[in-house]
Amino acid sequence: MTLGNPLRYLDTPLRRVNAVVVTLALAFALVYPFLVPPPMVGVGFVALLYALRNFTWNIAGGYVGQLSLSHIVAFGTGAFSVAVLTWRHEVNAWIALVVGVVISAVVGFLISLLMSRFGVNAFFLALGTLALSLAAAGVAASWSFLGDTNGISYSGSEEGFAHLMWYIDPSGFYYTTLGFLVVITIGTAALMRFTHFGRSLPFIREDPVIAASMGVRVVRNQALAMALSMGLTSIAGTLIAQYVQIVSYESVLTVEIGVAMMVGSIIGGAGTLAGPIVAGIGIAVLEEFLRSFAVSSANVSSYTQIAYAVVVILLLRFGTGGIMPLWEAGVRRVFGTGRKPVAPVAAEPVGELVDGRVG
Amino acid sequence: MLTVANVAKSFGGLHVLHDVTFTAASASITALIGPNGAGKSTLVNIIGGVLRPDGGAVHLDGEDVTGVPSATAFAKGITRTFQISGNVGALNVFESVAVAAYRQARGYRRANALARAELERFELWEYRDQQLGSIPTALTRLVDFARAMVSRPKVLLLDEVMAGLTPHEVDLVIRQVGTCREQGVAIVMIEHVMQAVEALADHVVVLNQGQVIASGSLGDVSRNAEVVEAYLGTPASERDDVRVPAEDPAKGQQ
Repeated sequence: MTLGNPLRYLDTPLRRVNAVVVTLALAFALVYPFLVPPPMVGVGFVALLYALRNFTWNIAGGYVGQLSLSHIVAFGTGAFSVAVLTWRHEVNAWIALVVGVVISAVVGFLISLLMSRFGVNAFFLALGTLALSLAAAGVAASWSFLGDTNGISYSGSEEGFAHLMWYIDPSGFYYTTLGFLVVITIGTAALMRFTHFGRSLPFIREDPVIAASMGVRVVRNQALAMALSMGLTSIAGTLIAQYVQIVSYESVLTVEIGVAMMVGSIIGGAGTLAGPIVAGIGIAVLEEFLRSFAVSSANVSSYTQIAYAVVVILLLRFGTGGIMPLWEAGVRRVFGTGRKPVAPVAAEPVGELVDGRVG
Repeated sequence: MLTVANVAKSFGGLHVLHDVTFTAASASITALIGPNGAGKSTLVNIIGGVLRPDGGAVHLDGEDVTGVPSATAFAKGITRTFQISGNVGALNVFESVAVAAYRQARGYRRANALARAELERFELWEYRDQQLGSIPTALTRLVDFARAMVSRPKVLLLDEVMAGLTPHEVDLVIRQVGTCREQGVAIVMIEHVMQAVEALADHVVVLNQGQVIASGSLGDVSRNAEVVEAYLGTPASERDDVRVPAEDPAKGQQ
């Protein structure tokens, strides 16, 4: 598939501004580890991990509107698969990562089918998937295969990209996470823009009855989106497990993780590409900022929650769509929409990129 | 050709449709008219696969499509419009048409090309970037019609597509429905705008209290005593007995 001249896409001020911002942000992300000491690179890794986690949740939660907390299970599966397979049985960490992805995707597919079978709405889906996650935490806490209450600690000696492990300098984790985030973002953008499957997802979210009457296989596509979303969330779990080198039900199977993914996506703008990333990085920066005020680490999360509340109140005041819709409206106000109201012209070649919800 | 035979549907104890039989021939327009609560929308929902009938059968070109899921009905060529409301306001105009274009198109460029041609035909191309919620209601009707047409259906169910349109827009839609008929589509039109029924309908089916009370040309049915009574002479108390709760929000839009 040829896309023609890519510059043709930059035909509105909003797209041009966004292109500049994305380019600058990527350039900054690439040089960031050279500018700061290693502990701050670790903060950067956590920020990217939050972004990755929010982004992968957003595929099912934002685009399809499945307010899922079963992503906690996906996150935990990614962490436990590397803990059990790599740390205990010396399987390569990348193979463990893939195993985590596959298991999470299968669980996501099945849970979505199960929920569709009962025809539940978004809120009951949240409650049902929460129950699944609590059950998974209970199993992990009482099963020695998953380290019961003690958790599983890292044991190994090999370092480097092939082993997905770096001991002193966290920039390896940083760049690996950045790579995943960039690839997954581009992949999702392409999926949402170019495929029937991706383009059908917003219709399923807005009105499944209308979607079905447009030939969209609603139940199948919901399940596939959930599988994709949870499978990719598992990657974030694997990365954080390798980074902190200890996994227990208390560290990777808590409700807070699911709520953070959900709230992060919604604050950023559910169903937008950049929103979950912006919100994830923003929240990580906020946490670090509060830490610099010598807030004890036990208090950081409660201060973060107060900050969440302030952000949510501001969003409710200025528009409920989240940060990205606000940003788009702001840019359009400053620079104009750049669309001339023209009469239809048939001569132009087809295959034009249109400004959808993925923009 | 669409054949509806002896279709019945109840919601709990409420008999909405009993023994409804009619045929919508290819390359012709069948207008489905009747007072509020007659069961028209329920009938369209049954043909479109949203509801499953309690009895009777629906055939498309001889193939049994009774109670198939909506997506299957669409794949077989039964397309419908909706009385679109605010809950789909966030959707993009171009995408609404392009997603439906995948019935005919394999691949991104082909689907977009079909969608573009259809939007231009309906004079909607300049609204392609907009959300459905940010364009006038009349235009959402046109988008909805374009969405149905882009799939090149065998049967097109138009659910009050004219409601709320200006005379110019009604003319535009009438022209498009006419073009669609020439392409051999069997069109079933629920319509209250008599301008459209007069201009287009080859065949009129009058539904009242869940039953077909008359069918034929518009001239024939408008002289039918039962039809006149249904529209003008029935006491309100009797009509309340067959009011369908599910239809009320739709009626509220007129």
